[in-house]
Amino acid sequence: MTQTQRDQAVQVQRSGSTAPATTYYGRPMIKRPTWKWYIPLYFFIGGVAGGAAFLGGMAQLFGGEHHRATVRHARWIALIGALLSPLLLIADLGRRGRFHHMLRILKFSSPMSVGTWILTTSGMISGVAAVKQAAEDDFILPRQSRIGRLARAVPNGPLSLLQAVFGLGLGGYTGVLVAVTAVPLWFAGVLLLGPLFLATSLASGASLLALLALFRRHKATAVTAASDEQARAEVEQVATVAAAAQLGLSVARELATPQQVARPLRTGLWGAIYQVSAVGAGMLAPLALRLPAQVRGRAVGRSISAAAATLSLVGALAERFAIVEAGKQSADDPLAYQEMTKSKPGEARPTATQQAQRANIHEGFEPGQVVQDRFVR
Amino acid sequence: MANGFFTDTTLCIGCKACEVACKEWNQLPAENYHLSGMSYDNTVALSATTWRHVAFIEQIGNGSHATAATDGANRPGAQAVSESIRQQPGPQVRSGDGLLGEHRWLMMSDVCKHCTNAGCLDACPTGALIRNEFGDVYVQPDICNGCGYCVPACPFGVIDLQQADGRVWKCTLCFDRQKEGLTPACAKACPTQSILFGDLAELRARAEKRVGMLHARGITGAYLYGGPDEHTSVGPLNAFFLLVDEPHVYNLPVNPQLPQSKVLPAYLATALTATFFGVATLYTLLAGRRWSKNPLSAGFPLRGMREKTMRWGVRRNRA
Repeated sequence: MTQTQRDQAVQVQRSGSTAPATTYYGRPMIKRPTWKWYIPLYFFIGGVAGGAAFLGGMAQLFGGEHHRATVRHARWIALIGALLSPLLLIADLGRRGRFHHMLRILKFSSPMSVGTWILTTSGMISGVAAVKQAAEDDFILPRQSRIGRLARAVPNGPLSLLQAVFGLGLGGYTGVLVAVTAVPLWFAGVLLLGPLFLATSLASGASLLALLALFRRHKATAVTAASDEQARAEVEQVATVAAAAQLGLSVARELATPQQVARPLRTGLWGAIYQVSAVGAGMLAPLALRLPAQVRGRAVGRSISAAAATLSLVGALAERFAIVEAGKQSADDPLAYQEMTKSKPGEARPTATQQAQRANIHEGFEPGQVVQDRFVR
Repeated sequence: MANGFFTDTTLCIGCKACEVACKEWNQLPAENYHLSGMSYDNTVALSATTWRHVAFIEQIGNGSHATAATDGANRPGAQAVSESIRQQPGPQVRSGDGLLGEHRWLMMSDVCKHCTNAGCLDACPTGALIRNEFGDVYVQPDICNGCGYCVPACPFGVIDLQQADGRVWKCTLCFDRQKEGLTPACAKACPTQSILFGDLAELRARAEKRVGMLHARGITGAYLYGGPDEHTSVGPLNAFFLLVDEPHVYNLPVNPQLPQSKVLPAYLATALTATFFGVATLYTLLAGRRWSKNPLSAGFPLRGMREKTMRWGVRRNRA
């Protein structure tokens, strides 16, 4: 095989066609994201916390009496998420001691700035909700202590509404943050990644709540046991809706992404992890496990329910890591970036001929004319 | 009007004085001593510690695709390269179209574009990135906390995080020199006036004149990249270029896009999805609430659940 043939083989492999594409020695055109593993892990943990906070807030507001455990679990998950998330985010900073510089401004053009404030606000709400829960349960914080009484006096309605709204914000903003970049793989799904991350957040949050409901020790009476089963069934119904949305949005993202750009999530290690773990185990499997019982209006069996919830959580984690790592690969691919930034001649700027015509009209240029230099000191 | 750079690549001789002057003035460390195999370009790319980068593009023979997707590391000796290039298909360069006819050696001193609509500036969550009084995009080193979000937000791959330092860096357009009324180091050092610094309106007028001049001399491929008539979402560039080949040849995107031009639709799509999940959850919870009013009736939403639960209850009691 001659060098020419090798070069052409590389061409075909990279661009899927024999038309020679021009790159600068195959060098990347943009810089790859510098985020370490903290960030995809945060996307997962923040997502679970956000999804659970939303579902818990909604259950407190609109759910029946049987959702007490759901609300309690959700509040504790939200608290743990609110404690871990800032640690992961600060760990990834180049200058950790300056994390509070994020709180200097609020800028809507920057999803990271918006997200900082969503995380800060939802963290404070989760803190208040968890203290209130502790006081109500007489757990660590005595009911009749001064703080306990104060915490219990916080009205449930506004607190739960805020927790639900900011939970959704926490689950969704990360997708917008990733999408609004020059990374071809992410920008190709600029309208879909926010909804996809939100759906994953809700699916994983609801799955964790379902898992906790399964571990909960049943009371002896049939009524309380049935109540717990009913609560779990409702949580699982939400998880199924979210998983279906996840699947639909993932398919839409695949369809909206050109072949060259989509490559990192279709081939290679991260492509395999994405297809098998995130889509297969994280979306298809939970749907296949839960739906047969759900469409017949029956409760999902306990072991099947546990398997579905676990797979959904594992899938969410795989999805976060695969999308971030594949995005890094995508940033390194100049042909993917060229695909993303292509345009018709004269669309982005006037063609050379148009520019020359314009120059001659405006400047009355004569060949051989010497332009005086007035600019360099 | 803002100050900027006009880099005329037809005047560049590849001396790298701009790279050196920039490193010296800004006290930037050297990066490596690798030989890249990419013509005379051993700098390879702009980085956190390289704010001027001279690209070298060899176009030998008829093809203008001398360097197509060939990794420097895989390249054999020079003779074999030119042989393989001769055999490659590609559009024919019309005679007289190139600076040297059939063979061209293009050089271009790349730099931060100081975009009109800058992705890094819009992305920065700390306000470390600002537009200064000279109209240029500047990173305040005392504010930046190294979150790295500006890095993938730049449509030109300019700004980068320096791992050892923990902050992002890029061309400041010699903010400190400008404040003292001095020309930026690279423009000052350029021996051929390939890099011009000055008021943008004047630079643009001069650049347009230069395009007309080159066309009149037969270099019909000459055009301005990032000039005043730019129709991209990034807008005209404060550091713009005169090029003689496709932008890709110089590793520049044809139609650079401001990522944040899509931020509002992205927020709205997410909010719409959130509303859908709110309604779906509400539907489920309200159905459950109806059930909880009369839990022992085996009704909506879960027929047969009670029976099943009772069976488990029995099993549990037995154990």
